[in-house]
Amino acid sequence: MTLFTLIPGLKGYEHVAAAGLAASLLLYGAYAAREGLRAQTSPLPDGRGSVLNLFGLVIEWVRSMAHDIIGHDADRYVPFLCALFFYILTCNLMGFIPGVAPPTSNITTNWACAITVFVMYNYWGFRAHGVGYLKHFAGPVLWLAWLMVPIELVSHLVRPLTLSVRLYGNMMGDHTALDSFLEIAPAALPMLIMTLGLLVALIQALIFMILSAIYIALAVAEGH
Amino acid sequence: MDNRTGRFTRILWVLFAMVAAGAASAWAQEAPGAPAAAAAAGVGSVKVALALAAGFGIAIAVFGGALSQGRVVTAAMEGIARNPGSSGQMLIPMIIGLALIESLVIYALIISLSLSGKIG
Repeated sequence: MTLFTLIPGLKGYEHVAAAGLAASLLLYGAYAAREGLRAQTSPLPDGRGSVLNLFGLVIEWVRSMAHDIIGHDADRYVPFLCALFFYILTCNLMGFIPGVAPPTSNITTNWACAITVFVMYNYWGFRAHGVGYLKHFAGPVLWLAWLMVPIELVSHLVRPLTLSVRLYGNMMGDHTALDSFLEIAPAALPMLIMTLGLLVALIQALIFMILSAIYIALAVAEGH
Repeated sequence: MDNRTGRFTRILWVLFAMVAAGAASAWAQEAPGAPAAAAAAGVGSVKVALALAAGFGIAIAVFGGALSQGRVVTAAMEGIARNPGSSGQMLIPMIIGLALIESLVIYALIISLSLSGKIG
């Protein structure tokens, strides 16, 4: 059903191929941006519509968002958040090529991103606080720890699950609706659902990135 | 350039590379995404119950979700009406709130889809 099945041997793994295509597109874009950066003479951006300026625009916006959420030393987490945002946005937008299913409409791609976020924010929490990071699970007061630790553990363990299922449900629902509307009215009706789908793709990539920034901020926060 | 990664970080990177190299073999076990349709629901009344649950579940979830999203947009509209200049500040938190409420509806959609998948 999808275009990737035209390549022999890829049956059943189209989403892996599509995810690989998205990743290689981003790597090429990063290479082009770096070449543009090397050729640039002044530190100010010129007004052209180049790949470098597109990346710069988005990265500046992600950086301001990370500074709002995480605080003063957000710069070390910005590359991770930008990579997450670009990758998920590219994977979502690939669903609008006719014949390609978005890789994020398969739960395994989302699960990979969500597990990465989970591992990374716990790693940064341990690096910022040492073993004292585990005191975050005990809640505000020590004698409530017997109640708070199970609640906090469950809410922490359910975070990668909710991150991945949210993205999966949005993308799979959009793509299923697009497929059904294509059967009903081939030209007019899919345009409406594609417009909504563009918005949803952008918003869901944004939500994933913002929630990851919030989890990092909660793990790294030293405001006691 | 100076070498800023500490020893602990470098050990972590080596471990991560080993795990990643081992995890590449996990792709071989990936089943092409068809849900394992356990067609044990052969009795008619079980199918009726599944169909009713799938239909009503998503309907109730969407009802609650639409109601609360309406409240979010109402609050945003009132805020813009009071102070039209700050509408840019209100857009992003409103979108975040809408998406988080919608994600609850989508959890119900997933359950409803898996229930209706068990019917056929």
